Amino acid sequence: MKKIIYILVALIVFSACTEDFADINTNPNNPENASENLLLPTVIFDLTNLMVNESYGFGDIIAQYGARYEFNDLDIYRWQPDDRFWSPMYAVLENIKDIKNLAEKNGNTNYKAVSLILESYIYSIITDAYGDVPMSEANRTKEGLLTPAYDKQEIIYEGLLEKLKMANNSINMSETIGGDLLYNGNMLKWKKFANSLRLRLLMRISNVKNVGVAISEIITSSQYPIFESNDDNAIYNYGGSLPDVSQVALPGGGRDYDYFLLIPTSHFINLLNSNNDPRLSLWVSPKQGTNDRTLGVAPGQSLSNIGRPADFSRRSVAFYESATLIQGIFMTYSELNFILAEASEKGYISTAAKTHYDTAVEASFEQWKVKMPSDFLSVTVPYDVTTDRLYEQKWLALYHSGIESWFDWKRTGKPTFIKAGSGNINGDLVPVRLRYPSLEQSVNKVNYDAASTAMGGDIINASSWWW
Amino acid sequence: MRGNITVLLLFLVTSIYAQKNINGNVTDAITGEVLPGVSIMVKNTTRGTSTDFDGNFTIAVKKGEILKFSFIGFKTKEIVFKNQSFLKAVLEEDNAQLDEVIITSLGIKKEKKALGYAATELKARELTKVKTTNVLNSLAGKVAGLQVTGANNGVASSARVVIRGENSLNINSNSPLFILDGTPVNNIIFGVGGNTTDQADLPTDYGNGLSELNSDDFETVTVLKGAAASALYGSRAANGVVVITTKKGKQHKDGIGVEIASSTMFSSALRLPELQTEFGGGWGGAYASNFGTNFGPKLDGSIVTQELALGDVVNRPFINRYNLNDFFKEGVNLNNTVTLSGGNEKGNFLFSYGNTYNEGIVPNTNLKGNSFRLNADYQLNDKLKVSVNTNYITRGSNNLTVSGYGNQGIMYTLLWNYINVDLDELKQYWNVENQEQRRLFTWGDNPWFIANENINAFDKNRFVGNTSLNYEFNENLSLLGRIGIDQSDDFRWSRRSIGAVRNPNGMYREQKINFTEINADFLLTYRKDFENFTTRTSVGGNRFDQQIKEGFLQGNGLSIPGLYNAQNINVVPVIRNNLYKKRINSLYAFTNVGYKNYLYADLSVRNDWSSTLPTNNNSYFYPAASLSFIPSAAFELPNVIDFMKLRFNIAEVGKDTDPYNLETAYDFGTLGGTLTNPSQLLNADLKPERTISTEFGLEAMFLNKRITLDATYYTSTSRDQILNVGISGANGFNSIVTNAGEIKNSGIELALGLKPIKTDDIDWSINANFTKNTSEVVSLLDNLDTFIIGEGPDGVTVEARPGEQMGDIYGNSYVRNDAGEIIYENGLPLTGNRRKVGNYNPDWILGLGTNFNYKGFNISAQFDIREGGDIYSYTNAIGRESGILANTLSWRDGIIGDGVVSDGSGGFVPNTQQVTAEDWAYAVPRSNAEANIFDASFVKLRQLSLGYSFSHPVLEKLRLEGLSISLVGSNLFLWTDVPNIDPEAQGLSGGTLLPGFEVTQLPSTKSYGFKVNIKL
Repeated sequence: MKKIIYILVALIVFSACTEDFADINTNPNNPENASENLLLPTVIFDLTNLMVNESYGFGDIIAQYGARYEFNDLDIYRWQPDDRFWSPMYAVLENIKDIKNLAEKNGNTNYKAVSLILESYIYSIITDAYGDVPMSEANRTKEGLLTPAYDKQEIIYEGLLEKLKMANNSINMSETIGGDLLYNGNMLKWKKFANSLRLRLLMRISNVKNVGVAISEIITSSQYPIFESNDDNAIYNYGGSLPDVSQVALPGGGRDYDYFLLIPTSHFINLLNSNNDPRLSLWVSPKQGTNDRTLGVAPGQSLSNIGRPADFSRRSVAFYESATLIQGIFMTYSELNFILAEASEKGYISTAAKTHYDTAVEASFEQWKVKMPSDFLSVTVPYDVTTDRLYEQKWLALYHSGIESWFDWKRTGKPTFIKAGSGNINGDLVPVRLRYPSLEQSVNKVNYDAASTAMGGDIINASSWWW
Repeated sequence: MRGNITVLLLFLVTSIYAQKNINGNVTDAITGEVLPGVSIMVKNTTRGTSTDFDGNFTIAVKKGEILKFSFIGFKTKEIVFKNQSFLKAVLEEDNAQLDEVIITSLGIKKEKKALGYAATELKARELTKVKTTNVLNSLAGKVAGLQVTGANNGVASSARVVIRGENSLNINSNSPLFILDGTPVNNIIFGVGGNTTDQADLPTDYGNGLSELNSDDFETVTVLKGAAASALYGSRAANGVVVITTKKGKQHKDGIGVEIASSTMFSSALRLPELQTEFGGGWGGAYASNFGTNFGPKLDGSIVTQELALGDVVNRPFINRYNLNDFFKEGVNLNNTVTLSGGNEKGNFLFSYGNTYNEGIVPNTNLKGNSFRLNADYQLNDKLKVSVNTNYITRGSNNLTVSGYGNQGIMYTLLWNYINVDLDELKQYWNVENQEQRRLFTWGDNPWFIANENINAFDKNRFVGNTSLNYEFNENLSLLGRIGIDQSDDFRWSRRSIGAVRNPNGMYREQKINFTEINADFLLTYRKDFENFTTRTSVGGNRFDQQIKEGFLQGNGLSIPGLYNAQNINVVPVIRNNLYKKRINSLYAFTNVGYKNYLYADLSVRNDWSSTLPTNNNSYFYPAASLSFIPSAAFELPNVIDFMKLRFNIAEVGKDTDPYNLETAYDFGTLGGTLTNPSQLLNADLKPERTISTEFGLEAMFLNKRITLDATYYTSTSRDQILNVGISGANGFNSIVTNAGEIKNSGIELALGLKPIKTDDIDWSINANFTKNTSEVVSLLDNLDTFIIGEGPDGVTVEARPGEQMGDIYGNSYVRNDAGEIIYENGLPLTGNRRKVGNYNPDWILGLGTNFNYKGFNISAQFDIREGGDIYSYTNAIGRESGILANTLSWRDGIIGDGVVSDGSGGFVPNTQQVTAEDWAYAVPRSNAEANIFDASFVKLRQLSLGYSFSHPVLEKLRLEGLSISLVGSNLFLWTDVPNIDPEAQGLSGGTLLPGFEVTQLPSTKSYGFKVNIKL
């Protein structure tokens, strides 16, 4: 009988042993809390990799700097539902949201400002790529909001312009921030970036909205500093040793098959060659075994017409082999000046368009560390408002600057040589948007359907607000 | 007077030494043959013995005591000792084998007749008749309701086991629980590497945990199929339990018995892709360097400038020199086990040593192992018995291949290759040793380089064992206490040489996995028999502790070529250390009541407390009940029916989740000193999952057991599954963990046994077992239209959608008009939206086995037939795109696709536009899933064995107890409509097996050889 009592006692003791359960289920592998200076570098690095990968892999094709000789679905516009600027971008936004919340809690206005700037940059890419996209209901999973509604593009742009203005105004110049892989804590440069970016966005919507006053204000007021030289460029420079190397480059694990899959197009090569533009030798490597940098491929052909890569000049070998030549280019002083040149042509600002044009072209050469021929701006490509020269030079200057060239072409239709190729299956139209990711069709169907219907279908030729 | 005194003295002597040693003998009532191994107990004492090989025994017994003779398959007999000088016992066969005993969960022996749920027992010799490298493969087709699918990842390949359909939307949570001698053994696959097409990091299949056990040690394998059979073993048994018991020592007349089992087999590819032999490497009819496709010139013998390797140009006849058999070699599978055993009335022991050595058909791959086992039972005194089962296992390989599609994979480099190339001429794979590879393409490794330099090796030590004490208070009450452990240390390392395509700077990786699981349990049992009732009640508890430690180091750059260790890494390495802990406390009770001999009822209850659920909701209770009714014992049934039983059960099982699923934590970012949000948001309010299952069954035996039948109908519903539910990317997280999903499975299992011939000399039996399962995804989550269970290449997924079935495959499909015709544009078919393109679950499965004995000869065969089910085959997609498969031959004449084009005004006309082979190859094979889905029905001859057991006279001359030899074959033939591959294949993503996808897996193998069994 005693034995039975012992057993029963053991039983009870047994079942009571759950006090250390909470301990056992505490994750020893990962931290539950973070700080802004640990999240910010992730944001900048992830964004860089995203923009570089998509620039080299997608942007080059759609803006017709390069064309693939195999797997050329993108070139002939056989475009499927596309997640490339969706989930990865929103994932970065989640980290930015945490920075913002921590900054608010801790009273760090500079971190908050930086998060607003980066947020605006990212949202501008997403909406410029897809059209109406979630913003006000995005990144609210923790609140239980799992099916975000898509905001109208016009509303999104209003919000972004507001954020950039607020960011500029709230930056505290006497404080600095840590973990800043872009500007190393230099808050003045962040202000310049915020305002330069705002100029880009204002120009973007200039066909559908009156932006003259806003643009003029930025230029004339000292409250809104903008880029003043290539020193202010928003460019991420890879450190050069793993993991701080671009995934496109060989030292970062890039496959040479993937890199040389794109052949420089005839548009790219001919434009550079016809102007004897020395940036040619930086951006293009000769046909294998020769010194020939004149052989570009016509973009958008069907596969059997393209021929073999060995017949053409190649993408820069140096950029592939180097651990540091590839950069994450968000926005440059050169681009800013092209924007200002256009603003001048439209009468928004008083300075001469030619001045900004010349500065823009010079800045591009300086940025790429190539010596500009002394007669380049006087003889070869002098400013001429009657031609498309400004847009052609801007197109060249925007090489590998994210996918900005495509967005600019969508607004202006220039350079005009960007056209559907002979093998296209899109009714001879160049696509103007990506299709929403296929997952949206299943997990966010109601909102997906509403947004698709509103633009006449989730197709690559559908218009949005500003295009 | 003196005579009287003598008698008196004798009487006194007889009285003092009242116990006498008497001799006796036990025989079979019908055949008159002696019966060895019969257990003899003197009732109400501790004296006992068993008969030797001649049926003889000696025992000390007093006059008036009762001797009880018992032996499986025979009716127990009791004889009162009345001073007989020689005790002869004759035992009658128990025809219906009602007292057949089956091992259930917790290692409890239960009488099969009293079992209210479906259980199938396999004797060990059925499993070891033909040895397979992974013992799970030898279960295929043998048990109704049990589906085993191999993976084709090389010599250490894992296998996926599912019982009664998939209940869980978590693809990895559909495995049954494996119990070894009463203690759970882990069958998890610890993955390394990425998904099936993660070209930078393809996963390697190191095998699953069960494959490490030595099947020569097995005594019985019992499959308990439904939740009711397993409500006693907790959450992990929700998908069924496979209970394995190992052999115990027995008494031998010469003291120690020695048994040797040796199996030698050779293997080769069962099915290789069928290649074309007419057109060589190139594009557009011309030879092209570095392309990979075979749309080049005709292989007509004309002199063509071609390459042996990059830069190694020759002018020679352009002919077909390509033969996959130049690369694949004959594999070897050697299995040898020596077993020593012995015992006496008090105890027994068994020691075995097993060795396995396997070489794969891919050169330079192997799998080796050793297993040491020691089992012992000992009766410490008449109340206390101690048992020990221990197994120490070593396992390792010098190299295994990666699995999946990518240029580190063998099949990739064999499919993207020129058929004018002679594989033997690529054997020289260095230009500069350890630095520069000699290969044909810049984008793919040389296959010999992969086999010899891209090494994935491992070294594993494992200890599985338990010890238990059984205390019999009296004949009604007993207490069992047991502690069991499964502990393994797995060290894996991988290297890639400098010059490898994916790792041009080399790579070195180490992964260490320590796994420890401890189960401590006790069980108090009370048996009481009344006049018409038998009762048995137990109360018990279990404490389960599991800990997994993972250490990982990988550097993608080496400084000194040819040196592969951590010090030689010259980049910032990826390093991580993770620890996972889990504990579950359980209490349970069950009672079994029998009425007369024909009605049995079972009731069990269990409560678990798990550390992985929120502390305010971590307890879950689940009951089970079953009923079995034996009409053949209750009523007088016609003679033709030997036995009939009806059974019914209903059970519920609760289930917890993985550790650390409640609080979201940050991940470490790519750059040092950074953090990032994880892609999955966790949930502090998780509740336990629930599975409810019901089962109706009928068992019957007819015509003197010449016909046996076991039929079951079951249903099973799982709710509140704890899932990673994919959500819109705009949420910033890719998935959330939540309770969602209701899955229903139902089906029938039929097992039919026939003995067409049974005479003294001939014994022929046929066994068939049939399984048909249907599943339904009843619901997911409110706003959720689909749940992605697994992802294969090119966006092809396995998804669960409400109203559809488990196992549905989704992918891009052709665009069709209302008449179902494919719509073309510019000569190429249009690819449209994603939709369901197939389902990987078969409509039904039939296992057909036959066994024929004539005197000492034995022939047996096992067929596995699967009807229905689809597979997405990437080998067919890639092989067509590269123009290497025979079915691309006709393309070179140009292709006019079979379909329609729009006529511009809403109608359709037939497509007449011709496209070149090259355009077709790029636009069609990989672009949509529908183009690569095949009906995966197949028939396989899984096992074939022809053997001979030598008879007594021969054995006596050889001084052996037993000798048998047999010729054996495994996986010998395959009949299927799927081209170029064995459809029994699965993809591997990290550590998850993905059914429904074949992602350029290695060819499966057939093996043949011989076995020798010797008993000394």
